[in-house]
Amino acid sequence: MTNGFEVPRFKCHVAVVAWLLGIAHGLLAATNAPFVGRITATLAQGDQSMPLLFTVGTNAVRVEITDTTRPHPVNIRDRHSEALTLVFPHNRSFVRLASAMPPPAQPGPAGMPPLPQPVPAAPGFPPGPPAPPPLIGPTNLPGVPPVSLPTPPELKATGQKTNLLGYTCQQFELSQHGRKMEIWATERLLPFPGYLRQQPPRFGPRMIEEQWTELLRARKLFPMQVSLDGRVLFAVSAVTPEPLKGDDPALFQPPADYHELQPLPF
Amino acid sequence: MKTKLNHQLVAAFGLLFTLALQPSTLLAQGSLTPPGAPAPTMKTLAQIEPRTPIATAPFTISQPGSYYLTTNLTVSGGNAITIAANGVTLDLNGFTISSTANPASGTAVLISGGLQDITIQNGHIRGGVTNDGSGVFSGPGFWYGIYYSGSDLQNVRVSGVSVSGCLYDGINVGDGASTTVENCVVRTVGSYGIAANTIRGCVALDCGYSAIHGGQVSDSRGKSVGNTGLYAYTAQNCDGYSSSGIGLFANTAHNCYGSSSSGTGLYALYTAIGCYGSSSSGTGLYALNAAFCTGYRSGGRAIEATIANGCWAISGTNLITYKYNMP
Repeated sequence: MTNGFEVPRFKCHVAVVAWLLGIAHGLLAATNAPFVGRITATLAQGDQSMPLLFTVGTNAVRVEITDTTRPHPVNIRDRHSEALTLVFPHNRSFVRLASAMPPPAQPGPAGMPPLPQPVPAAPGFPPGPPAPPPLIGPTNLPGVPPVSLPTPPELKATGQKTNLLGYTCQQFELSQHGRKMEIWATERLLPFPGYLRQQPPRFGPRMIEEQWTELLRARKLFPMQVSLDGRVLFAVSAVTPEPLKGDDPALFQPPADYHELQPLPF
Repeated sequence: MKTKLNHQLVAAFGLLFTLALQPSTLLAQGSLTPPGAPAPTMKTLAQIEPRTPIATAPFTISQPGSYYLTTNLTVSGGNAITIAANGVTLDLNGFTISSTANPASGTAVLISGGLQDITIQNGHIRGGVTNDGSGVFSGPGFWYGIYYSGSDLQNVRVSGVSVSGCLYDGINVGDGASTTVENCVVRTVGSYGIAANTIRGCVALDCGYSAIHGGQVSDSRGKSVGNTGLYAYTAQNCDGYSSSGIGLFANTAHNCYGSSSSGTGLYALYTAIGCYGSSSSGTGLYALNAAFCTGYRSGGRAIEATIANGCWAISGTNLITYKYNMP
């Protein structure tokens, strides 16, 4: 009789504990487990819109344009080291880059004066573009104001939040040269890998369209929607968490018969 | 009687005078036996042509010197000529190096890494790689026209060479301390057209990656089907076109023309002077500092600059922070 009473009580405790553990595990999984699955989006380039597919594995991310009218490069980025492999189907080759971050300004080729060095970065931020000279122009002429060159754009949180496709997003702003970019981004997916068609130029990008991806990745944010001067530049249309079979070589390695090219040092 | 005597005296003096003019005939003659075999008077082949001929491939140059082709060379796979020594001049002598390898493989002229004082000139490199029209490159031939392996080269000059139909790079001698490519033409290669520190007077068309890629580039033209048309630290008197990337990308551009179908036409990180940028769907011309430039972008951004002086948009709008001498 006693045992008959005690056993259900014990079972009840076990069930409650298991339920609590399940919730805790779910919360942990939701907050700490790296996202694995597929994300589809569109990226505007000029007047054209490119469909992008992010295939996110445990250790690597594959980014490709799914438009098949021409052979587009495929990006494979290591999620840990951020090393990037550019795969070129157009001539069956690939290039491994140590990091896709725009390399800091290097001394120019022989005989060239060195380029300005990058602006020291705040902790967690990538180095900024080369520091411009403080003032240029006819500063001593009456009626002509001295011209101060622009500083690198900074990602500023507006404090606003919303929910897009089930993900809590923060709003950020980025402005440069009178242009304004609005970004809704979430921390719950992955650091934005972006998409590159080519080896980043030695002297880094300056247009605002070429800087936002690096700034987001440095903050470990993934954009759900980006607009520039009121026009949508990037938009996620679907996020599909799904287990991928480890790191499938077919997805996250260049094909075996592709030839590895050496990246140019400049 | 007196006259006859005079005539005899004149004749005697004349005879003595004549003998005096030919003293050697009066000396004793030496031995008629020759002192030795006659010395050769002709020049050796090494004196007439002090260069080493190359008539077969594959061929490896392992000693400094001057080498020249005596005929067209064809390989069925692998490298045709390998330069593995410093101080080499290779004269293609107007001949053609070609490959029938299918699929493409090897390099027409491969330079071992770290070498210096190399000159390659005056000839043609040909493969059968083609672009199917959509930007896919395939077919027989070489991987590379002129290429190097390993560390940077120094004091390298490539001049007067034409390359066509390679799967990867046309002429790539890297960004060594002093690499120059001049008066060369490249067409239909799947990756870089021409890459070197200094490039002048060159043309590279129908390239899968950057067509012209250099430090200092002048009087050159690059056209890419998949990437930047012309990339340079400094570009002068250049023309770059891309169907999907930036037409002309430079630190400073002077008197240049850049156009693109979907990217920025001309992108000068710092300064553009006297340039023209055009794009079908991107920004026509971008520069931190633009002077006397022209931009074209129908229904979009013609010129974007922080400082602009005397610039003009043929079509489209401008975004300029500090504007001088402009409407």
